[in-house]
Amino acid sequence: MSLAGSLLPLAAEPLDSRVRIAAVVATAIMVGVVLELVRRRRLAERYALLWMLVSVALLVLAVWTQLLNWIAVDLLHFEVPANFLFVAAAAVGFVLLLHFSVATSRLADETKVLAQEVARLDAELRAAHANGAGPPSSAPPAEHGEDSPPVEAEPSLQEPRGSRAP
Amino acid sequence: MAKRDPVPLSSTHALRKLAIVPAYNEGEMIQRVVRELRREAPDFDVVVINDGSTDGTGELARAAGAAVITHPFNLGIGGAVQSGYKYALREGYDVAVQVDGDGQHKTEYLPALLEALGTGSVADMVYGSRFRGDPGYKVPLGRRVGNLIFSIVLTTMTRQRITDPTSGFRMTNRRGIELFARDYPHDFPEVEAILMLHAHRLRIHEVPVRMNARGFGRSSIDYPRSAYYMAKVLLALFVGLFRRRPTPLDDPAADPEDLSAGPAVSGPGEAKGS
Repeated sequence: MSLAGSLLPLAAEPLDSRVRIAAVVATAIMVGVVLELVRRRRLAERYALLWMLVSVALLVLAVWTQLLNWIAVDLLHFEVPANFLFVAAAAVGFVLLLHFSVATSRLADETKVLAQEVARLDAELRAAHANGAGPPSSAPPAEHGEDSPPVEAEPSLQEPRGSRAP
Repeated sequence: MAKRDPVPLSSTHALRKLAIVPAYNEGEMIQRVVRELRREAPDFDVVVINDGSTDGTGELARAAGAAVITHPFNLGIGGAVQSGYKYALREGYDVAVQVDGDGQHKTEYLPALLEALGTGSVADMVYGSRFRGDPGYKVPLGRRVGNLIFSIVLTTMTRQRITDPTSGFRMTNRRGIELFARDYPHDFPEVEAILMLHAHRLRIHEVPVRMNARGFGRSSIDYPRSAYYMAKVLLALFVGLFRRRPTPLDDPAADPEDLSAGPAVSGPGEAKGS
């Protein structure tokens, strides 16, 4: 296989058949794994759709190399079709990671609110048990004045403002 | 700037006041802090935010006579403090002060802070600054430098002298409570919170205080994290400039009373293009 002066011919040619077979097998496995994950409900549908789209696209490009050639070389002027795949893969990976970072941030935010709410409910429940004849809990009797009017806590959004008016 | 509070309060004694004490694995120290608060500042109720401690901090605080809010896991100082403000809002407190659970903040300055907060006509948030005089202990150089940088940035942004932006010894009125209950910064919240107050046109005032060296001698910010701290906070400040008003505090559905407070709250914030 002489590399000398073969840059252009190589670029114009479809991928080597062995590479094609490997690519088809790999992407087929990927589609299978995604389907299996969805079947077991381990993957939410919206991500499943995304991954299946990606794997199907790869599968199509692996089988139909002329398409890859056309997109990469004729349309976008990549010298080697494979480079287009690398760039596309990196771009998809980047966008996905960014998306996951956003999702993680949102989840962290929601988790914080949940934790604060759980803490509030826990405190109010303890106060209620300490005051009333509720079921015994591990809460030691709170002698602090703070705990005494738990009922007052409810209509707090408007009420307290009014309460400072006089 | 000097907008009067819509609700004149004749005396600070009539106010319901709350001390918010965020605590994470403070052990015995939390009892000292709570007992001191109850002894020295009996007009303040105390709520300890037990931020997922694993050492019985919550039980100790409760035994010392504080109301305790226990997070199911550690949220960090921002989440803990915000929990305290939510509590203050819910229970209808007029004044809330943050007091660290590690004994760093001296109870003896509470009256000075309260006086500076006035009856709402002086400031909406006052805080104790270590750098208006003798800090009371030897502040490590790294912290001094970091503090100075934030101080310069914030002083520029708010056009007001902010000498100790990392101080967590803060007292707010109802407006501050409402703002912080709705939105409070995450990781290292103190500096960003100042900018938030400024964006919402809440008036800030500082009072010189001394502090104790941290109870356990360890700061929550050690060297490897300080670089992250600096970068994160500076980024947050920068982003804060371009952020739209972070919380719908002046939502038109809000209490008409507060709308009559006028521009002090609902004027266009300069942090956003309105």
